[in-house]
Amino acid sequence: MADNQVDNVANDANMSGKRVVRRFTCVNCPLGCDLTATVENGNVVNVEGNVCLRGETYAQTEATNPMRVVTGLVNVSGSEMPASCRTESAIPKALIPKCLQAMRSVELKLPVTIGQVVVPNVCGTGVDVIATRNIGR
Amino acid sequence: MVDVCIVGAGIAGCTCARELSAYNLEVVVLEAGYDVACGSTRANSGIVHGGYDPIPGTLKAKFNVEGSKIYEKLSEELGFEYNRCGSMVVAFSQDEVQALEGLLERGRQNGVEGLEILGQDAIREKEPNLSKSTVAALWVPTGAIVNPYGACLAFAENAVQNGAKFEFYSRVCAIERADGAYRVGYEVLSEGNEPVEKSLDAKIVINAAGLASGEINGFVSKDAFEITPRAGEYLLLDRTWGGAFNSTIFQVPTKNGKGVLVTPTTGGNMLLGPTAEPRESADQTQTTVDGLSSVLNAAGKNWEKIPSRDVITNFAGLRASCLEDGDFHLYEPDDAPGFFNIGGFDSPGLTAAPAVAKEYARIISERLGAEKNENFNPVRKPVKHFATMSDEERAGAVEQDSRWGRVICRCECVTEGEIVEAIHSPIPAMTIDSVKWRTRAGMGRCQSGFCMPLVAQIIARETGQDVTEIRKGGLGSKVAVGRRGCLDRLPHVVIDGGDDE
Amino acid sequence: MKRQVDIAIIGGGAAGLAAAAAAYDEGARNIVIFERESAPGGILKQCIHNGFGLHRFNEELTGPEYASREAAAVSERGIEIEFEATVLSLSSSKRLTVVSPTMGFVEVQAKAVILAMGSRERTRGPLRIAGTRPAGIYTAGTAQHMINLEGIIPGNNVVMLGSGDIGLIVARRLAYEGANVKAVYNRSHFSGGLKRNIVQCLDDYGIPLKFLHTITSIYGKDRLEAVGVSDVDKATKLAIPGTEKIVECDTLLLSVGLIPENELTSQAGIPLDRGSSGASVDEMYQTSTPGVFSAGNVLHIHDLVDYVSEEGEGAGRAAARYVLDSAYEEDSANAREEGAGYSKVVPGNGVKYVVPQRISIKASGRITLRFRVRDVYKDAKIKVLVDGREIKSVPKRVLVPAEMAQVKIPSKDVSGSSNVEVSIEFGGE
Repeated sequence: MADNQVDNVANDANMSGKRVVRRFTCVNCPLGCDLTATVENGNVVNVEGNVCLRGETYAQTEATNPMRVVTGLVNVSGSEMPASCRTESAIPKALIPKCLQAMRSVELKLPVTIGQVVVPNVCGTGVDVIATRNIGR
Repeated sequence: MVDVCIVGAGIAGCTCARELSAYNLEVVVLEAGYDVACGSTRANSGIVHGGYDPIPGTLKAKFNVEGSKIYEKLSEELGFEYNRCGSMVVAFSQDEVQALEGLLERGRQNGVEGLEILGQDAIREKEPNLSKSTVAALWVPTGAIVNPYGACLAFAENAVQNGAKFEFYSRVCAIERADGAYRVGYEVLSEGNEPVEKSLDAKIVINAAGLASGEINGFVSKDAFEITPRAGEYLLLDRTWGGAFNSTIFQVPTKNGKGVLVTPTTGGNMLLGPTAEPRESADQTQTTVDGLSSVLNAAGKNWEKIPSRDVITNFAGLRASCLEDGDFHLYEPDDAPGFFNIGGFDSPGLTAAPAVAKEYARIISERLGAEKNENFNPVRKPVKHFATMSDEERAGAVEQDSRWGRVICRCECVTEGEIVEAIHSPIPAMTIDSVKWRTRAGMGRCQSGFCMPLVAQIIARETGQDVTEIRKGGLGSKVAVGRRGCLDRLPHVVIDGGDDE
Repeated sequence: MKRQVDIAIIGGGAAGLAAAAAAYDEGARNIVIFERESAPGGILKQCIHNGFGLHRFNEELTGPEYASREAAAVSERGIEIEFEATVLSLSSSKRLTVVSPTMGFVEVQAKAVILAMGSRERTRGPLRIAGTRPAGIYTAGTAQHMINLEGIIPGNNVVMLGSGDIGLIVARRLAYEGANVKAVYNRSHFSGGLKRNIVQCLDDYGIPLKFLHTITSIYGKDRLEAVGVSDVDKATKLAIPGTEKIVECDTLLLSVGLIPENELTSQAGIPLDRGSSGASVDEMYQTSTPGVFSAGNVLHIHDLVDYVSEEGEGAGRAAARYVLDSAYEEDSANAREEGAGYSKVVPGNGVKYVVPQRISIKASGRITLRFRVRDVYKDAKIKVLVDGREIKSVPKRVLVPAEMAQVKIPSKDVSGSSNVEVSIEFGGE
């Protein structure tokens, strides 16, 4: 549960009842619109600076619940080459450091197979970290 | 007590070691760096000069011409890259043509053979890419190019084969005269440790310390000379331009030296440079923005359309120059008998070194009454390079040893086989740069981007080290800071809290 | 040893693997891939980040996953891959010399060759950065290799020059591994990397991206100690003297562009397009030498591997047809004469290059023209002109050099023409 509180740093600000203006750069296309999202009680009430609908959706997600797929490495005993891994789907952005810590503490045994679970339910997100490289197969 | 201690494993020290190894003498070379040719020998124009430039009667003139005459045979004996491509001093004005006449006369006095002045047609025929504004040129058929590192290594390895010993990471810090001999104090340096002090007694000391030769001389003699490091900056072009010039193109020399040249290298590149700027200390081997652009400007006089986007690297070397007396300092000080200087050994030091070494070996062997070494083998087998083999040779090499079939450096076509040979050679190549200088792995257009990690792995495997211990060159130059986990920071994630309204 | 093959594919990365599978599916059988590394996938092996395969597999994969799917397709078909095999030479008559520890030295006569050698990174050399030459200066890709394939960390305090995609990805990777990535400096006023990477690799971790800055000096004898960073004049793109500031770091990574590796192409006498630095090809990815095809990063630098695979497939299919259909072979030979039967495709205003560089009169269906623009263009139009007549105009909110652009045209619209031009019409920036 403690883990889940981390990702709500942003939401704490959002939920404090004040109007908060958050700024983002849209990543949907090379235009890179500078977006301004106004957040009130955890809800995005206004998005400006976007030229298309995708920008609005992006700002809403980034302002309330930014998510990232985390890719990394885990050591494999008996192999100089580390295994590459990723979260199977996006996890809250604020959990990235904890997720990396979890990846660092793992040491896999040979062989490693693509799709193999490396860290189950990472940081209590319900998302597994899976291997993305075969080693010693 | 050894017979001869040579301080410095540059071209001066290594040629002396080789020539002395032809006698029954115990020879030890102390080198502060991690390899042979760590100083001036590594970074210069790689020219075996004809000998038209030094003032007649000087040591430079004598040993330049003598050296020039024996280089080719030495390159065959010792298997290093040498190419008598000729050189040309070009004149852009009538004043400069007069200067050429002067050089021609001086060259004849020095005993340089085959000199002639070429007119425009002859110049074009030899060098179609040379600037059309050249009006005449002094043609020096004895001018040649050499791989200076390769030559130095060849002398050193042949010396080792014939019994000489090399101690690297050994910096001489004191020399004292004791009982008609010398006690040479030196520090042995190692990665991450305090230096260990050692000493060695020698009947004879040769000071071949290049940039440090003034300081080393000062340990034993009041007859001082001061060395001023003079930087020469260079630009190296991709091998696609290797054929742009067939010979070394000099401009008319000025009081600052032979000026900026354009030359092919034995590796098949084109080299532009050098500048000539005094530096404050012997470790200032950096290039400068101004220096590099002045090289381009000056070389642009010879080569009007330099393809500067095909520059693959830039570097600087330091000349061990003695400004107060520009000649070589080849002498045994009156107050230090048995101590032989090779000081102020700037250009044409590379050319002169084998001749100086023969002379010193003769004097020293007589002094010590040493017999000829009956087992002396003057021949060092040339190092094979996959890149320059014929198809049949390649097929044979891979059949004998499959590692010759694994290309590690794609740009210069260097195989695992030759890298492993370099690592296990008489003077083992233990660093990325040592492997590079011997095999050319990493010298090409990608500048080691692809092969550096592979070379590091091979060195690690062959020497039983972890790959994170492998260095680029000298101490303190590890290519990695450690294995994963050596840094314990976690990234700070920016969660924009936003601005209150 | 001598060998005869129908199709020799040089490179077992994304382009080569896709080409092999497509050639097989088109009916070719005697196919061999020469791959210089010991595993298939090329650079994908070290690209452990996600973002690959959205177009090709409709899901977001990492590089190794994408590579393993492509390699599986090749091995399912029983196509031979020679590993640690380096092609040493290629002649215009499609004779190759190849060496590997297992095969030895082999002469290969191929009926068709597919060039899929990929690219290399631009280095410090052409940038003429002055200073010393210590350890700690790497291209981003070299650093990526060290970390992701060997598990070793190239540096602790890191500065990057250039903001190409590999660089941005590696900056995040280093931050993930505990390094302090101090800043990314970028000479021009726009990035060579994708927006998504700037946000998710730099902004997310507070790594500053400084436009109009460049590295002008390197300090440190054995290991890098600092770099000198200078302001850049936007107009001249040159460093402004006197503005240099010292930034301490032990590592400098360069992410200043990719160069197609066309040494073998040139050796075979195949001319290169100055704009793309790759071979000049027709819509079947055939070079000016009949039976020699080119695809992927060796043809032109891509930002999406999905398109590399697509090109590889195109080249693979064409090579198979070339080998299987003798009429096709004859046609190609005829077509070589003075560009007969071809429309020339040329870059117009604002366009750096266009691939393919020519379209055969025999082309059918829709043709994809891929190109890169020279600058950032907002509210622009992509125009396709055939012999001066506009046949297509596509409005674009923005076009940037970092992203490859494409436009599809019906082949019947260009058939019989002499000149096809792709240009950018823009009002703003």
